[in-house]
Amino acid sequence: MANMSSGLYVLPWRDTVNDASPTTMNLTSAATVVCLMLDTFATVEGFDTINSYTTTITDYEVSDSAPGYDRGVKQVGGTPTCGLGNAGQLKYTWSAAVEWSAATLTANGMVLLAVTSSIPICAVGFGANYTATNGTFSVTAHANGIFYIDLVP
Amino acid sequence: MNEYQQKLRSLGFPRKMGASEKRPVINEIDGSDGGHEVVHWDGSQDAHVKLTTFTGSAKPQEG
Repeated sequence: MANMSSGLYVLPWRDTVNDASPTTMNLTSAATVVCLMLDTFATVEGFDTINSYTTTITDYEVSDSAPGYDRGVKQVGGTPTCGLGNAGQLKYTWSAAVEWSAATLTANGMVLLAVTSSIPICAVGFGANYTATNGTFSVTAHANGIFYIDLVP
Repeated sequence: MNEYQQKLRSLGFPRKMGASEKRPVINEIDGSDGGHEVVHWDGSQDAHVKLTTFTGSAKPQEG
C-alpha cells in the first residue's frame, strides 16, 4: 500500500495563519468537525492543493449508499481538544472513539473536515483495510493525538 | 424463540452461536498493532481502528 502517509492539508492551515478566507476551522467543537471514511486512501494526494470538500476527496470516500454510512455528517468522538501535548507540541485529539453502527463498509483512511467552511484539515491513513459487516466500525485516537504539531523540533 | 430454537437456527452459520473471533490488524505503514476486527457467529463483523499519530513538524532552518 504505497503512498499511505498521513498529513495536514497545507492550504487551509496557510489560510488560517494568514487570516484569509476561509478562516474558521473551529476544531474543538464536535459539531463542526466531521469524519469522512475513505476506501481508497492510497490514491488521495494533494496535501499542497486541496482546499475544499470536492471530488478530489469524494471520489475516494465510502459510498453514501453503504449501510450505516452517510457522507459528511459523522461528528468526531466525544470532545475534541487542541492543546499542549508533549513538550513543545500542539496536540489535537478526541476524548472518545468515533463509531458507525450497523455499518457495512471497508475503509483504509479518513479525512477530517471542518464543516463550517467545508475545508479538509487532515488525512489519516489506517495502514490497512478494515471491514465492518452489519457491525460497528470505530476509530480510536492515539494517546499522542490524531496529530500533533511539533513547534519546538 | 427459546434457546433450543436459537441454537437450531444457528446451525446454518459458520460459527457456534455466540462465538466471535478477534483478528488483529497490522498497520502496514509502521508494522505496529493497528487495531482488530471481530467476526461474529452470525456473519456480522466489527472493525476497530487504533490510529497511529503523526506530526506536522515546524522545522526552522539553521546555520
